[in-house]
This record gives sequence, C-alpha cells and structure tokens, in this order.
Amino acid sequence: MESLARALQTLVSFLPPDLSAHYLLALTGPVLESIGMTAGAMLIAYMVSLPLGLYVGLRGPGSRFIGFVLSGVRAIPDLTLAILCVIFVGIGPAAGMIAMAIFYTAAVAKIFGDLFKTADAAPLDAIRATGASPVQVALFLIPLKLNDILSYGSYEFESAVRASVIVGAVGGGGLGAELVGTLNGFDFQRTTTLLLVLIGIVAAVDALTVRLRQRPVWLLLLVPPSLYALWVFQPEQFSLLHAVHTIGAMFPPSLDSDAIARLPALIAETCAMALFGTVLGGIIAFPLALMSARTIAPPWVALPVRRFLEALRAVPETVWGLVLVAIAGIGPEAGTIALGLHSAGSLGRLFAESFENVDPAPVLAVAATGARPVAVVAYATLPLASAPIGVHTLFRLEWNLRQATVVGMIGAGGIGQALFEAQQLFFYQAMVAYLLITWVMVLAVDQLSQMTRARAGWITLPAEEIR
Amino acid sequence: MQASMLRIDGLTVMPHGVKTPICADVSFVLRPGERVALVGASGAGKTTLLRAINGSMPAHSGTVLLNGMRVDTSHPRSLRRLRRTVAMIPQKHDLVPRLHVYQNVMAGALGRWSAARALRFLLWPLAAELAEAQRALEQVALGEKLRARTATLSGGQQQRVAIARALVQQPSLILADEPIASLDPGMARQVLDLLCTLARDSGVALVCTLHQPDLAEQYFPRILTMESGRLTKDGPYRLATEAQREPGQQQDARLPPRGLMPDMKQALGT
Repeated sequence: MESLARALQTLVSFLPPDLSAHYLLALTGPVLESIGMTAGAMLIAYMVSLPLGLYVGLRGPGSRFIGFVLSGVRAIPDLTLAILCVIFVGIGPAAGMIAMAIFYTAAVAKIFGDLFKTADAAPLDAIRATGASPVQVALFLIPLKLNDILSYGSYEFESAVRASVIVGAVGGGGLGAELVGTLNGFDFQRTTTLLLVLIGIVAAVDALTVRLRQRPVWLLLLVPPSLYALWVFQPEQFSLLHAVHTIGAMFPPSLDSDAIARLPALIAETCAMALFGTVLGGIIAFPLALMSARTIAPPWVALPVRRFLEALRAVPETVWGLVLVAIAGIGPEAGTIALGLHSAGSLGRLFAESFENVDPAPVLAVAATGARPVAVVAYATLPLASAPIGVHTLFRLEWNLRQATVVGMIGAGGIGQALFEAQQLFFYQAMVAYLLITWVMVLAVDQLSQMTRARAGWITLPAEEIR
Repeated sequence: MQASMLRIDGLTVMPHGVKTPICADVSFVLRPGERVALVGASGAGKTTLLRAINGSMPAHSGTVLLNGMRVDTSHPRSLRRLRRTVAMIPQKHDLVPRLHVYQNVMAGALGRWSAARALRFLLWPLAAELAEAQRALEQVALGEKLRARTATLSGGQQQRVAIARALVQQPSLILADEPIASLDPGMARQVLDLLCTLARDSGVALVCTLHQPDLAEQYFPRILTMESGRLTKDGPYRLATEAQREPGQQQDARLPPRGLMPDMKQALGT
C-alpha cells in the first residue's frame, strides 16, 4: 500500500510536461541526432538488404545459409547489439547507429527475401526465357514487388525511429540518452516532454511515409541527408586493442552454480511477464478498439481514441520500462506494465481493424431486424471478428515473450534483469552467458512464430506482424 | 387492418456519383398478407428496391409508406422501430457462422429486446427463450439443430435458419431477396413452399425477388416485373395454357396442408 502511494506520488511528479521554449530548443540537438542515426543506419540497411534479399529470393547458391544467418542476427535484440557496440566504439551516436544498421540490415533483408520468394513465377519465367541474365531478372523483380517493398520498408523505418531511443538509452546518444538523463536526475517533467516528442516524431514519420509511398521517387531526396548523417556519426575512436581486451574478458561465458539454479525461475518469470503483459494489453485494447473502429463509433470518438492508441504504440516497451522502473522500482511489475502499455497500443489498432474488416452482410442483416447498435455489435461484429482478434493476440504473446527478455535488460524483471545486473557489476562472463541464453530463447520464439504464421495463413497480416 | 400496408409512390433511388437511377419512378401498393414476386434480370434494381423499403438505402425522390409511416424520411430511432415490422431474408442468408443456431435465430428478436436482455441472452439464454427459438426452427423443419454451430449447417439449412430468424421477428412484411439463388432446384422448391405457406397461413405480406419467371408463376398470385430500374408489369400472371385456372390454386395444390404448421399463429403472435 505504501509502495503504491509512493508510486502514485512519483507518477504525479511527471506532470505537467516541461514545454518551456528554452527546453524545447535545447532538444533540437538530441532530436536531430536520433533522426540522423536512424537515417544513416537505415540507408545502410536498405542498400545492403535489397541485393541480399534479391539473392535469397531468387534462391542463389547458399541462400539457405544466408537466411539462417539473417534469422540469427535478427534474434539478437537491438538493445543487446547497442550494449556491445557501446563497449566497442564508446558512448555516442556512432554506437547506436552501428547497432541499428546491423539489426535492421538483417531484419529488412529477411523480409525482402521472403517477399521476393513469393513473387509470381510466370512473369519471371517469361523473362528468363528471353535469355536475360540473373541480374536482369533481379532488376525485374523490384518493380514487381515495389508496393510491398515500400510498405514493409517504411514500417521498418518507423520501427527504427522508435528503436533509436532504445539504443540511445544504453549509451547510443540522441533522445534515448537525454531520456535516461532526465530519469537519473529525477527531472520527470522533462521525461514527459521527451515521451511527447517521441510520439510526435513517430506520428510525423508515419504521415511522411504514407505520402512517400504514393510518390516513391521523392525517397531519393532522403539519400543525401542520410549520407551526411553517416559521415557525421562515423565512429571516432575504434581501439582494436581495447576491443580485443574487452572480448577477452567476456570469454569463456560462465555462470556460477547459484545463478544456474536460479535460471528456471528467471525463465518462468520472463514468460509470466509476457503472459500478463499481453493480457493487460488486451484488456486495455478491447474497449478502446471498439471506440476507435470507424464502422462502430462516430468519428468524433474514433479519431481521438485512435490517436491515443497510436501514442501508446509509439513508445517502445523498453522506453515504457525505463519510465516505469523509475516509478515502480526495479522488478517484473515494471516490465509487465511496460509490455501491457505498448501491447495495448498495437493490439488496439489491430483489433479496430479486425472490427472494421468484418463481412458487412451479416452486420447489415442483424441491423435490419431493428436491433440496437449495441446488439448489432454483440451479435454480429464481435463474433465475426473473434478469429482475427485471437490470432493477433497470439502473435502479440509471442512478440512479448521476446520483448520480455529485452525489457528486463533495463532492470524490469526476468532473465533480462539478471543480464542487467551482471553488466552493472562488470561480470562480463556472466553477462555473455545470459546474452547467449536470451538469444536462444528469442530464436526459439521466432521459430514458434513462423509456425503460427503458417497455420494462420488465411489472415492477411499487417507489416508489424511479419517477422 | 388498413387497405394498404406498403405504399410506394414515384420512388427513385440514385446514390451519390451514379448517373442513372437504380430504381426509377417505382409505384405500387401492397395489401396486408399479399404475396408478390418481384422478377427481373440481375441488375434490374430488385435488391435496391427491397433495401429502399426497409430503409437501408436512401430514396432520392418519391415516398415509401409502411403501415402509414414514412420510411424514406425517418430518423434512425424511428427507422429502427419501423424495421422491427419488416423482416429481410438476404440473398446469402448472412448469418454469423461462429454463433449457435439459436443465437442467430433469436437475433430476430433484438428489435423488441432491451440491450441488457440482448447481451444476457448471448451468455445465458433462458428456457422460455430457447423454446421460442425451438418453435421457429420446427416450423422450418430444423428443430434438431437448435444448439448446432451455424457454420456446420449446409447452405439450404442456413437459408432456413434465416427464415426462422425472420419468423421470430413477428413481422407484418417479409422481404426475401433471391432466397433460392444459391440452392439446387429441389431445395429451391422446398424453400419457396415454406416461405409461401408461412406467409399465407399467418397473413404476413411477402415480397420475394426471383430470377425465374416460371417459379414466380407457380408460387405467387401477383408478379411485378422490373426492367432496368422501372416497373414494367404488374398483375396476375398467367400462361396461355393455364389462363382458366386461378393462379393461386395451382400453387396451393403443391403446398403442404395447413395442418402441418400448427405453431405458426402462436409463434407469430397473431
């Protein structure tokens, strides 16, 4: 009870946000740094992953092995990569940018590869029959899948904007570094400002990518500033000696017997965080989704609720985790609520789309009996949308199993917290051991996810559920 | 009873962005308990006319009077009240596949139920309510399917569930939109038999759109013909060879005897 009162007290101290011109002006630096990191990293990611994806898609020799490596790299959480990069190149945006470039190259290449694999075979065979070289065939594939490339590519960019704050929080510069600074300095009103700025940036990027998808040529305009960002944020110091020394301290990975005995409990705690986080997210998402479905609620209700869901979703689990650790203290409660808040945003939007996409005929048939709107929703819309809602929740549970290990790494419970503590105490051998364990866990969940996706093949999945 | 239960005067339906009207200057009067077939090629505007009658398609001009009340200019709340008296049996039965049969059937009662009762019935149906669903299902010879999942039923069975839903609604007018379009010929006759018998025995007016003029002749004493949005023929329809016979007689001979539907009057509250 007392801790709850203290948590509420802390919560109040987050309000009102510091919107003074002085502070907002001071934020231009971190904002530009975060956007620059993202742009530079994504330029590398797109440049590398397009040929890589084409190669995998056309099933060149060794493409199975490449696909395997991509899955492996993608299973290393962005936060982990950032921690490693900070160790190698020192604190600053360069570390964050390299971490994001590695993670998103693997992620985008995997998606592009899958996209090109599903290309219609007939027109490709026709091109091959004219005696075209493999390179010409590959160039022909791009326009064939241009719409998918643009929509998944822009989703990954939006996701990278959010991730730039995560990698920044562990020493990768930009908004993330500023956020951790405000939390450590108990400057909570400014934390709120930063969250609002992040929500605003994600909304702006979203609006921009929608426009750009209609006129992809304008994308070329983004290349020079991205190149400039790459140049500005190149690593200044890369001491090979220091890196070798640090790696040496990490190997061999080892855990003492106490830590090994605690492992099952830690893994169980991680799974419980994912489960409760998903349930919490679903409970928040369901009524909000009903209120934001355009076919159910009037626009003056639907629009603001939709904006609220987008705001919840714009803040990544790890960032909610940082804030909640400050409010509720270190432990699994903070992690569970963090997963719940972000999940509520994601699931809310997906549920609302499920409601909007139901077959309208049975809904009209029930409405034609003179039923009240509430009864129409209960007797037609809800039962019709129940299957996609179930699938979305299952996907979110899998995603949260993965994120539960990551969110722990900033102190929010589960196996990630053990990793966090080992890192804080410079127990590098134990840290690497935990890193490997979380990596295997995430890899296992990713495989599980692919199996679920194969089973649920009859539902068209939005970009955020393609992994 | 009034002389006309449905009076349509100069009805034109022309949605936004459409150049030619889907229904143009349609006028006709329907007496209580009258059975009418609406025939015409697909795209002639039959479905649109039905949807204008129950108010789900706005009229561009003209009037639709149902039991003395304007449908075309009704506010949503009073339109909802009007719709209770009109049962629509849609072309593709349009049931909710995941619900139990009794839930789909009792959806017909939603117009007279409070919101709280509607929600309670989904989770916790009372015995009396289930009995009402059972009676309606027995009239369409599906009594044993009360608790089945709707998705497990065949197309013809689902069509009959949609008819049971219309019966539960206790309407004064049934609008059936191509009720036999997706059925094989044998099943089509069964469903038409059923619809006409139920309507005749309970005095409910029936407007049924049909593709096939021959079936319309056999089952309906009055036939309206639509061609590209206009009503081109209205009246008893006789083939030359059957000119002497009363159109009702021939089809009534094909229908099952009245005694087969003992619960009819009770279920319809007439």
